[in-house]
Amino acid sequence: MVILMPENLNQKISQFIDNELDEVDALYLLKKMQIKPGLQGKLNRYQVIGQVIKGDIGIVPEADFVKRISLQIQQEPAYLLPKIKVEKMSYKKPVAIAASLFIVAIIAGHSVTDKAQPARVVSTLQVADNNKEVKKQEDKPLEVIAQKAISPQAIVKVSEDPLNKQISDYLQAHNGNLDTNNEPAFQPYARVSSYNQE
Amino acid sequence: MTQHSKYSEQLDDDLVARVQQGDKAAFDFLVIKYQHKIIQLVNSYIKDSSEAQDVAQEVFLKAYRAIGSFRGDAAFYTWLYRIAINTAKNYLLARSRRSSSYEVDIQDAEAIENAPQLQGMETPERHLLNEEIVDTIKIAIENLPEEMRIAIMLREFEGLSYEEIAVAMDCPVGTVRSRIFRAREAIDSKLNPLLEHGDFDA
Repeated sequence: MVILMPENLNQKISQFIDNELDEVDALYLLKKMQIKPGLQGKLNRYQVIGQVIKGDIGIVPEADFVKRISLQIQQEPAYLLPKIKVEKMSYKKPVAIAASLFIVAIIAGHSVTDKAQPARVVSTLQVADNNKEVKKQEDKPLEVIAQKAISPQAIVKVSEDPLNKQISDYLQAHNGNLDTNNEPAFQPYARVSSYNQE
Repeated sequence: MTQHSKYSEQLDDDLVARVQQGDKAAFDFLVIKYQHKIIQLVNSYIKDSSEAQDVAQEVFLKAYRAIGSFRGDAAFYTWLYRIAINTAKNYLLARSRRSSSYEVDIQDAEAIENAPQLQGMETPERHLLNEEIVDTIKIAIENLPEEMRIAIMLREFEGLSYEEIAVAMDCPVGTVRSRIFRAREAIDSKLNPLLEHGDFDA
């Protein structure tokens, strides 16, 4: 930064009030004016001249005007802008997102495959079915099968009523659920539902 | 917007950002830059120069306290200008309530602009000094060399930029810059002794 002589500083003040000074020079000049009140006086007088030429009667700010405000502001708290939280991207976060997406992709992929091959699902259910008549239902989709399955809660409720014992016995006898334990060809405690029993 | 007013707004934005980050000294620069304009604006409502300066000081303090909410949607000076007008009107309303028996409706704040009795009167000494200042400046302008007089009149009265004045006067921009500065210096050499002996101490 070039050190300016007072004459040059006065010329800069003249340019400053005409908005003909670039930002860097303006800031430099303001810093100079902050430490040299004489320069502020020059600025104020130049501005009064301009006002009188325009036809207004101007008043010159008191010499300590800036200083008084500065002192009062020193006693004020700083009024800051609320800071925008910059979230630090933990290395765990992208890994977790990627893993979640991977799992969702696998599930979605399986779902699409399952819907595309309803016959295979039906054939799995066939294993648990004691009644061989299910073969004619092979083409029905999985949702229809699920709707037709008898819920175990309904069975329990009915069996609690002694008046309906006969019905309860009938339903239990025709329940398509099969509980297994260490049976060959079945997973432990797997429950498989069949459908459309008579 | 000219390139130079853009510089001025950029400087304001930069200073405001610094204040918003806790740099109180940057606010001093804004006060230096706008003190004259704000005092004149307040003085157009409140004729007493001493009161006008007190209210102008309040304007800057209010602006400082509110600067955290300034988002730069408007130019800083526009924002400051609004604070100044509101502060001056509120001051006049409060004063009128204190000094008069009749009530002034808050909605009638605009009417204050047309009510000189509410604006405060300048003292006779102040009036005399103002006249002396105006006469001194006018005489100094009349005594300026023609190129300087035309240059400063085009700038201050017509509001032309240095480039426009250079075109009008058919001379380089540097010459315009120099002529305007010399004109101001010549007028100031007559004005400064008057202010030093008046109640302004500028």
